[in-house]
Amino acid sequence: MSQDSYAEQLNEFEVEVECLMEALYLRWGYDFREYSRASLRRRVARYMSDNHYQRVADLQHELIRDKKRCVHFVRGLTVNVTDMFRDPEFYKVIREQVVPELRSHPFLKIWHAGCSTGEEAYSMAILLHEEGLGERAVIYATDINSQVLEQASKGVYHEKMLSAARENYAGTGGPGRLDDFISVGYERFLVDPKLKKNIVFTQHDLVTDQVFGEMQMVICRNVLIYFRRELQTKVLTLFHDSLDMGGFLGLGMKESLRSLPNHIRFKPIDESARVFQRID
Amino acid sequence: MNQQECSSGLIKQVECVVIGASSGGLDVLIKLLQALPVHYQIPTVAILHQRPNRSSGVPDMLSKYTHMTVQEPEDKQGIEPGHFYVAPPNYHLLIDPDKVFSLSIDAPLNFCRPSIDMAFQSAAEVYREALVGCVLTGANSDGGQGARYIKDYNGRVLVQNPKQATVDSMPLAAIAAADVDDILDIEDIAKRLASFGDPAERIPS
Repeated sequence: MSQDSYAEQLNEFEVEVECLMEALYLRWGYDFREYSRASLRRRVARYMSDNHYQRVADLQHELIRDKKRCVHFVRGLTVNVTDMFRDPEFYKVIREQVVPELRSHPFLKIWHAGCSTGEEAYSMAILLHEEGLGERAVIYATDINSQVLEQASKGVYHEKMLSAARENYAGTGGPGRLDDFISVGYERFLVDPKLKKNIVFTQHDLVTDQVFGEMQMVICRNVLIYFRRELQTKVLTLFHDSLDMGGFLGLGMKESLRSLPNHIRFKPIDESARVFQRID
Repeated sequence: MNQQECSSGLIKQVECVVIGASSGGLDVLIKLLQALPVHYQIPTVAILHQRPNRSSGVPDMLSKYTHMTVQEPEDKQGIEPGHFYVAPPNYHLLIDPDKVFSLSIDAPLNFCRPSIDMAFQSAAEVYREALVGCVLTGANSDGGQGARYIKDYNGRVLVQNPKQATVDSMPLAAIAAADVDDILDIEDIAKRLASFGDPAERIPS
């Protein structure tokens, strides 16, 4: 075999990961087949070493038989780093450029897709509350993973995250203090229960599940980076179809629509903050 | 030795260069860019540890010293000749099998995001023996495991001479972790990279 054709080949681990993804889809409907490969493989390798699996085949055998183990594995594949008011300038742009338009709606529906442990859904709830829109807004916060949603619905976070959260809040142009919306104790902080009244936490898989209808805003931060371009394109259509005409889309700070064929259905509101508006 | 021979006897053209640098790295990258040929074509990806600010200004700064296009890659951007890419602060930068960049906000690896190890590993899996990795100055051990991955996939690894480095721990870690191909001053690393891009050097033996 020549070196060139060898270089085209996947190694054993890479082939096994492909098989594993196919198996998870066939057995439980979890579809990771169009996820970016470099980080997917890393996560599989990390899950295996954390959970003492020597061979992908052993892991696959167990995941096919044991739904609970599979849910645990999926959590390992998808768990993300998030933070209250992550990227303060994003929230500043929401506050200054999106909120004035949202005010014209008597009732607001916002979909936070891939909300992970919920910090940013609460951040948005705080922002809306400060802007006097809290009472008329519902935030649908969704994630593929039921375990992170359970954590999200509690609204309890470790105190070590608090200093970053306070610092972030200070950069959002907020009129008050973050501490007006949280209570601190026992090395934890708890978000004000009144914020939870406007948030619905529910499971949703961007790859296999359907449109959330008639939203005024969709927020999906640092999720698309884990998808291949084809899947990104498909999910962007899902967001488009979930939004009202003129509705807003907020992405992560390094996520771009430029390389996607359907990006022309959105116009940038703030290019660097990655806030877009549906225009067709 | 200009080119390492592969087991088949064919010399594999270098398709990508990855560079890891930390403390003192900016100055070294400038020196490297100044010493590379004006129209250097091999796409080069620098993983530079930086403060996690949103906008680092590093690409603008570096572009003053080179004719290559210097930029922070966006997610799923294709890797092109004549480009010098710098990993965006606070994101991991990976390369996917279809030779596009893929960003990740996974937890820092050994306190680093971007992680040199992670970037080198993904690049090694894609480019294999057509990859060259360079480990430059830095005050930790990031890049050591990455260098080993590159060697495992038959790529080449060049390390900055620890005596010349502002901080020697990163070069030393790479030398300890992998059977590196050469330990060179930065000017000689530039010459070696230039030789990989020279068409005259690409003729199979």
